[in-house]
Amino acid sequence: MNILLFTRLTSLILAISLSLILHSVIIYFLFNKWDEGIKIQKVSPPKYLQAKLVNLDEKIKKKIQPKPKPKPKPKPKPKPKPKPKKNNEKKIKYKIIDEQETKRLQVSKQLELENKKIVSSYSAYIIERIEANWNRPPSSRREMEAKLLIRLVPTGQVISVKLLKTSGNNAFDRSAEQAIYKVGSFDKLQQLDIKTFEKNFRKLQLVFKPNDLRL
Amino acid sequence: MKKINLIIILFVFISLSASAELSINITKGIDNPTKIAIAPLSFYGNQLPEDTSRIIEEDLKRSGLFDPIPRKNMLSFPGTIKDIYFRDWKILGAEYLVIGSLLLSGDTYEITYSLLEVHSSRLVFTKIAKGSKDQLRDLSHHISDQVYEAITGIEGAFSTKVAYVTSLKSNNKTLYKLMVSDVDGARERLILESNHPIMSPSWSPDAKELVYVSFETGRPAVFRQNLANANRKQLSDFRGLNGAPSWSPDGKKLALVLSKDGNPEIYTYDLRKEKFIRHTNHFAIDTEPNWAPDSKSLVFTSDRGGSPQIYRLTLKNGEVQRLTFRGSYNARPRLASNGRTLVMIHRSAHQFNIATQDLVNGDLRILSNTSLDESPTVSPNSAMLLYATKINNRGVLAAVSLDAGVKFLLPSKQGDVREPAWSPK
Amino acid sequence: MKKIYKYSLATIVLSVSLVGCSMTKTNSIATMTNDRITTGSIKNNSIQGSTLKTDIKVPRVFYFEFDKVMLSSEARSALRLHAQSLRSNPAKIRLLGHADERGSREYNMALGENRGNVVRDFLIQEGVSNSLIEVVSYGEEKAASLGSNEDSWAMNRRVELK
Repeated sequence: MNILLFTRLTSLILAISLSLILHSVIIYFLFNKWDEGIKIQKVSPPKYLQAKLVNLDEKIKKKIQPKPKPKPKPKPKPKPKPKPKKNNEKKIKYKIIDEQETKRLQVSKQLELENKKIVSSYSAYIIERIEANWNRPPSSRREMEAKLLIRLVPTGQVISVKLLKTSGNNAFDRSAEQAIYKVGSFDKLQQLDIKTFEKNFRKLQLVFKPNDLRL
Repeated sequence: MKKINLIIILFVFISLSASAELSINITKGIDNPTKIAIAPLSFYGNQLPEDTSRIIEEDLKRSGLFDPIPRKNMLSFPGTIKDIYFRDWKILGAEYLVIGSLLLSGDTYEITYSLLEVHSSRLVFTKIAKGSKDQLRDLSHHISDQVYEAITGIEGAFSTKVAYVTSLKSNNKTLYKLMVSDVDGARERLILESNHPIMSPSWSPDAKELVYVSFETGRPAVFRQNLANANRKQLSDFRGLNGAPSWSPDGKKLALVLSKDGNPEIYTYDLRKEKFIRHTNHFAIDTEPNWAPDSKSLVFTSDRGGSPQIYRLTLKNGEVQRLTFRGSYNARPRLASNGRTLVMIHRSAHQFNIATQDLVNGDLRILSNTSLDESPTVSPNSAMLLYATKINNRGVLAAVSLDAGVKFLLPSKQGDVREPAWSPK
Repeated sequence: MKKIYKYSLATIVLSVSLVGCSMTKTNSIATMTNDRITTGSIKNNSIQGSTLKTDIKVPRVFYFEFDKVMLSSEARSALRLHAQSLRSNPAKIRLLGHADERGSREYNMALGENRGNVVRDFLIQEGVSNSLIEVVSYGEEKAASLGSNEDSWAMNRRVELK
């Protein structure tokens, strides 16, 4: 009996510790990624401090003027007074780092926007191909909605179609599946960079909800 | 403390990001007829009396919702599922495939048939149908019904029948006939032959009897006839109009028009008690009653508003409500089994056309492009409509689909054809 | 350790049985029922007519406007003569009402009857006894002219006195 209990306990402990280890590994990796985000947030407040400091030194003033247009000036008044004597060199360093960070922010925002445009244009392509092949049965009604999950490979080929949520009408559901099977392959996706593909198009949810039906 | 908060936030974000797939909305389609291939039935032995697959092709084509692949283009004729090369059918552009094999044992045919999706290579169903040797057409129509229903979601109406009246004039005498045929026009059978006009056939809900108007007694009277044994009975014998009989969906009553009290009024007749009850009380013409699917109200034509329009009569309390407000002439109402589509003759710009009015949203649609249309009758699945019209001075029957906009003329027979009545099953 | 083997075997067996939906899904067997239809026929009934004795060639057919039941002045004059004849020599008459083919058949039956009634009422006004007159409508069923044009239609909108 004791041996049984012991073995059970050890297996339990093993399972728990394994699980803990796996989870902490995951957390560690995710935590690292988030650190970058937190880093960016930490940098921005000093800018406002800097704006105040700049007014005292005319050389730096000229360089910074074109940047801080939308900045609300009068926040941290009491703080900067004891600092300026000690930290002039540090100021310049922060300013340069700050400029780099702002540029990086701008670039990454631009990239994000472009990425969104790309995703939305390929989505439009997918919509167009499916709509050109969707043959609705006469029992379809405007209120019907079917949700399907499809999996693609980078060549654009559909490798699996799964009904996630039925519209309540089998013929309608079947017509949605048929539309996807008829397209077979979204060839243009081959032109998409692999990273964007993996993030957005490997697994895709399609919601079929007709709003062009008369009834 | 801050770190713990971060960890909590992390867990939340992990779970969210795990299900954050891109979701795309598909909101439009094209609605072309579905391309379907009906492979010729495989069987051993002598030629079959009917080409089953051809009958199925023609049924599906007539519905307007299917575009059958021509047989001459087919690359193979599989009889069983294992014989199918889906690539052969993908090349033809077929979306669906029907295959079947027939076994004759003694006097019984047994057809095993399957419906498959070509692009996904999936089986939709395999079914068996049995019938006697002379029922091969019925078996074919049955298969059409099953295939139609699986793909459209609507019950098929290919096994139904149509009753109609023909008139043929020769040597100043006209011969009238009441006929019944399959809905594809085959197996025409004579029900009644007379030198006096026959009008307004109406089916019993079990599709075994007809009521109709005959002038054989010198004035219009309503008769009832059993189709299997030809037993007939005269039901009404009043002076004036006896007309427009309509059998209630619950089978118990007829609605009809009688003018015995001075002007045409709507009556119901209890078939068991053999009693007439009057329901309208207006000096105008009230005629052409037709039952609602729940047998609780009637739609009818009345010119109490000055010109023929369609009204609804609630039998329980006698309340009359007007239904049509557009156009100066709306008559001969028929309520589809869906309870919301009103079919009628509608006059616009000097043309008499078949129109539908949706009783829920009020939409009025003119369905026919012929003129001088009359006697619309709706299929039991509310998908198709038959009516009578005149082409080149001859009376012919035409069909139009209620949704898909398909129109065609039925092959013309001898003489004039009119007053089609679609059987309820 | 034995338990682990048992559990793993169990899961393997379960998963194998769950995998693989077979292609054979036989759902239903339908059997046809036999429906026979036999024909019926009726004997030729001839209508009992009656003859009106008139020497004068008075019109016996009266025409109407589309969707209208008013008598023309020619009709009235002709009918007055008929009424005279019937007052002196009572005989049973039938007034057969008709309509042109346009519109629905049963509504046209009612129109035909209305027209017949108008003629009847006029005759009664002129002193003919009600019991002598029967109005029968044929609607669009017995067209006098078979064309589909205004002229044909005008010929069909009529009441015949028999």
